[in-house]
Amino acid sequence: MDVASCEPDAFEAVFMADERFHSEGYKEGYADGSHAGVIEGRQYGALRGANIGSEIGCYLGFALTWQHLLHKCTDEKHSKKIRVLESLIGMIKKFPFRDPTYDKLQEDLEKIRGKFKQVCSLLNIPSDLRISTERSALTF
Amino acid sequence: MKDSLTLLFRIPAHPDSRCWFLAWNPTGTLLASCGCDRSIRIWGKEGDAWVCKSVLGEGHQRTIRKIAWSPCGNYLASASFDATTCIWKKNQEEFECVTTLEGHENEVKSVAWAPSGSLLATCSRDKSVWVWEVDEEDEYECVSVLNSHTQDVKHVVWHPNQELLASASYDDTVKLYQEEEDDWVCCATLEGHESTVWSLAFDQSGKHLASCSDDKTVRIWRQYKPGNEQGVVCSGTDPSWKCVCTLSGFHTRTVYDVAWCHLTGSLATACGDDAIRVFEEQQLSDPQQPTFTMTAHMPRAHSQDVNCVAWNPKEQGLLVSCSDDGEMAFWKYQRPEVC
Amino acid sequence: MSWVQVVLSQLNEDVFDENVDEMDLLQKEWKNTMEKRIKEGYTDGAEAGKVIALQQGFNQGYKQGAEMMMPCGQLRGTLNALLSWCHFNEADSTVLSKINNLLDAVAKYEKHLHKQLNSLHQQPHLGDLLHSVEDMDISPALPTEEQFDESTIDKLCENDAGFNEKCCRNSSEVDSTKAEYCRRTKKQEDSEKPTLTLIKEHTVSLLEQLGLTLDMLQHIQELEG
Repeated sequence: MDVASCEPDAFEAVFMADERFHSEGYKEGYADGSHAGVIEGRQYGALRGANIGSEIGCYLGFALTWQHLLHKCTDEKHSKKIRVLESLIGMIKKFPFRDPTYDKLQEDLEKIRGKFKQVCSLLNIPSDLRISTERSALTF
Repeated sequence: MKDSLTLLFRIPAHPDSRCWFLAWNPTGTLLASCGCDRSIRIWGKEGDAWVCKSVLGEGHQRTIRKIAWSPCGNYLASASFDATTCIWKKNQEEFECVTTLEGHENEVKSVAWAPSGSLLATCSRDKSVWVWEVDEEDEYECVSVLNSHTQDVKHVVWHPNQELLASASYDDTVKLYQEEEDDWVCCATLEGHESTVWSLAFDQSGKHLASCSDDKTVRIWRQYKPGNEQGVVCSGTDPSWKCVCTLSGFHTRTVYDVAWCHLTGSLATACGDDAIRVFEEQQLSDPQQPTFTMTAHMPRAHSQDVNCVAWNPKEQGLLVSCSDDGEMAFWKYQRPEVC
Repeated sequence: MSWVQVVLSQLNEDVFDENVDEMDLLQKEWKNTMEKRIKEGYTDGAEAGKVIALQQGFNQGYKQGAEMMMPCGQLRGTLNALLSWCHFNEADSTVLSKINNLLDAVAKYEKHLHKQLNSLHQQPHLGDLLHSVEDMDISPALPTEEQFDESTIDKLCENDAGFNEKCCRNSSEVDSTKAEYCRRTKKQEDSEKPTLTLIKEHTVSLLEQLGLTLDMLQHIQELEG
């Protein structure tokens, strides 16, 4: 066999080996890094998601309950309160809070928080019984 | 230039305290002042002198940051660091606190009445702006809580003849709000200041808005309606606001307040360098790129930060200012012949 | 036999032949250089993999967290509404304290869920991963870097989709500590699971006590634990 054609150029061999080893390491690293990344990302995500789920759930439970309570009363004065409660419930039901890729997540959340504060104000909820809206500040 | 601004009186309005803000009643006959001493004082003219007519002391637990007269002149609203806003009803010379508005989570920084008198806006360190509706029975109902700012909201002001609200914030922006389909929405964000925006003032027409900032500048914003000749882009039917002039190089510290005289168009500023300045738009200057000239500069107008300036709404050239030194000062401004 | 294979075959052999002193030195140097290259490749790969996987992991965890906490929050909001309603109707103090107790219970349960979420998502330390480079076996057949696409991560995510399943299924391959915490979490979950149901039941009986109609209870009944 012709030596020259069989043996690659020495420099090329060194270079290829160099690339190969790097590539080998890269492959392993990528797999491990992906694994670690998914786990770490999931941990952050779970806590953020938990905060928003808890907060949104709380507003919904609050609004639905008050809606029922006020529907029991026939007082004309409650119509505005019921309207604002319905508006809050509508906003929450439309809000894709489970989807962190939703681009208006923070913006809509702030609107819901504002509507919730308005509801509390209209219902005359004393400040010591109000639920703080500050519990989860979403920062990505 | 110095002669264009002359001191008339100096009064220790809130001695041993800080005087935060001044507000003229709509007829320009009464001046209200507020301060760290948790009191509001009402000043009226007797002969040539301005004297204290009443002290409103029992409304707030903490500093009173700002006050505002209702357009009818019968009510005074006060914003306090105790997280509440009080509504005071004028009864001859006496004032009675008739309502306390609660809802903000912490310090209320500013309060303003809409020109119709049926809407009131408040803002707070809690980053929110609240709009309240007043009915005939003096009942206040929250109609909206706007969480558009990302930081402390310093000031709110209404457009002089439309239901358009503006707010200034520690987040370096100015935001505008209007009612849309039964709810209030942020319809514009004015970006340009490089630091906290402390105060805002519309001109008499409402086509211009002046903002002052911790970045030592005053910016003039102009309203452009959809389809304007200048080709300024508007989204939908909302007008757009564009900065047409920046007054820089005049102030050496934070500009805390700006006041636009609705009688003459003079623009006064209150600055952290203890000075008061007055600017006039140059005649014949391009309305798309107006230039302003400083026509008065009063260094050491006060011994500490000047917190507020206010033009009397009826008497041309009567300007008041107040300061951290607890004093308030009355000034006579004479517009120079040529500017 | 190719030149590279020769090198590879000799890499792990400790040859101390004084006759081939110079050759040996060169080989050692070569080996060191190549190990360094593997390590570099590993670090580069780990970073690249992590950056892409972080967001995907975040999105998954976010959804799980949000769905897990929503019913709790809803129960808390319901109880808060009842508390303010009772406050206005001047309900007697036993009712108020009952609501407050239930609110405390919900808060405790929420805290517990938080902790659970946290421990389920514990990650192996990157430092540990780096050590594993030492025992890496060097195979000559290698895909190129470009071949590592997102499908690798998708698969990973897919495999990890179930919380407990994942930990426990993988536990045999992972270390024993991990297996232990899987068992622990599993056990905890079993014992804690009825908590929300229990609070729900108490809330419902409270509503009955307050004389509130059944249609009121509907949204509470619908809450999924």
